[in-house]
Amino acid sequence: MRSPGSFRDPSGYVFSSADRIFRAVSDEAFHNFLALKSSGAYEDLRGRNWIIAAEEVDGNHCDEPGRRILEHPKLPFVSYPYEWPFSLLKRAALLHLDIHLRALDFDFTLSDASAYNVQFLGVSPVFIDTLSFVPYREGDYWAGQRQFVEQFINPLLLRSLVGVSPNAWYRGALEGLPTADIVHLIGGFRRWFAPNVLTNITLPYLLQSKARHTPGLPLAKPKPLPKQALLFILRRLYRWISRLQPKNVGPTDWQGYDDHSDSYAEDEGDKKREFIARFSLAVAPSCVWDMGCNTGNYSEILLQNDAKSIIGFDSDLNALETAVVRASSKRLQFLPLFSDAANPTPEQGWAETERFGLRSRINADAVVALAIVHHLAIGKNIPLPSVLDWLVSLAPQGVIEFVPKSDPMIQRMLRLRKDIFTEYDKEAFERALCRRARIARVLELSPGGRTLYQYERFAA
Amino acid sequence: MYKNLFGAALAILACLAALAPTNAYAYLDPGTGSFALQGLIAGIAGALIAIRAYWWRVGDLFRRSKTPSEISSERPLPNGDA
Repeated sequence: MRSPGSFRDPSGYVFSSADRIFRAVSDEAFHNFLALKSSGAYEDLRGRNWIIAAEEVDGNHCDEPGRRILEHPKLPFVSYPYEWPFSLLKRAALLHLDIHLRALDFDFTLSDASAYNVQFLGVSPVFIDTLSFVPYREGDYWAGQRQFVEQFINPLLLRSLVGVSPNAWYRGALEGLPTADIVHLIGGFRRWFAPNVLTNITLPYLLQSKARHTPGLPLAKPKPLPKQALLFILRRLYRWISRLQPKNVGPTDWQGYDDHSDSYAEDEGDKKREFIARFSLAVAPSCVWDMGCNTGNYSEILLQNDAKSIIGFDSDLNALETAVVRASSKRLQFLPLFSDAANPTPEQGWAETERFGLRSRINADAVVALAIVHHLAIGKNIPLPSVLDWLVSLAPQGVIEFVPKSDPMIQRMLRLRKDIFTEYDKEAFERALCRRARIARVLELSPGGRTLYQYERFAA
Repeated sequence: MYKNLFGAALAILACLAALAPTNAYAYLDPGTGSFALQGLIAGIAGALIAIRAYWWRVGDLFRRSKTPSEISSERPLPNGDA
């Protein structure tokens, strides 16, 4: 089956067959690939774990005659730039530049700069588009410059200079944040006097506007761009991006959650960790989805107890930054992603199939949903049975935490609003869970307090 | 004589080919702004190279003793980051 998002570059496309991933390539693209291999660039980049493996296989897997076929290892999970927290987008941008600079050493360049060509294994980025490598000729322009700015730099700048998270906008715009919009959010002084902003944002915007307002104006015959100048552009970008940090907006609700004294007494925290560890040891899941992963505290416990990998989702970008640091410093197979459980990533793009929604990417054999149900049922007014149906649909087994209405957290949530949640209690929770699953183990963390449920979903 | 002329013509053609604007258009639209900006950088880089070549020619008058390889290794790169 042809991958619905793989259609822009005519040199080839990705398809899957029997759970394997292939790429059908044109003759020209295949020759480029062979040249990439014979130049030593492929080996070099593979040796650094910067690019995904690609091996030639026979053409039997493809219906289209005359196409050469490459096979790639299957990625466990595909994530999108609008799901990445700041530091992951930054890592992806730096990897892109690293690869481009290294490829130029072998006289190869990248034909585009799509952020969707980078994927994550844990928090390590890997470049997946083998066909982006094309032979470099002295004087060539960087065709992907605008794409790089709009898909990497503009979203980073929005968070770094303005303090606004780019994820919702990125998800809506899909192809990055347009320079024509970003330029208006950058202050006048910086627009003109910060050299990196001037050269990457302001000047291209002005030149583009000028061309648009004088459509008859013939383009001046382009002068060749010396290789040293191209390297200079790429290295400057690299230095600039390495220095970008999220603008300090102060700690958010969940960043200090690890020492969240008002939600759990000490022994409750221990009991909860032990429950999660025992679940993980019993199931030994290959992939767990941690819904509301926060800084990844429980993801780490799962990984210490036989879980192989975790995809974490949270809507708090600052907590996710801490989670990335945790995954990185402790080398965890943990990918923390931005996602609002009340509004998960939809199918979108061309024909509404180009980019997958969250549901189509389910790869988990277990789910943990700790202290999230009340945020959906009370914080977002989603009916409790509906919340449980959704969580249980994500994996065949898991752990869900119930937080009673007497909990200080819920009391705080209800402080300024009418309690319309007459259906929210433990009995209703258990009833809703039992419609879809068998409850395997229950632990009340304190009498009448928060309760953990391990469950096994009924077969469909 | 003809041989020399032929060689010179070949060299000029080779230079022109190297300097000619590239037609390696990608499937991706680079965007007029990005293209014009890189044109601008190309112009500045070209001018720097010309100035440098001129500078070294002037410098050569005073540094006859240096070999070409020494000169090339000492050339300042236009790339400030290198």
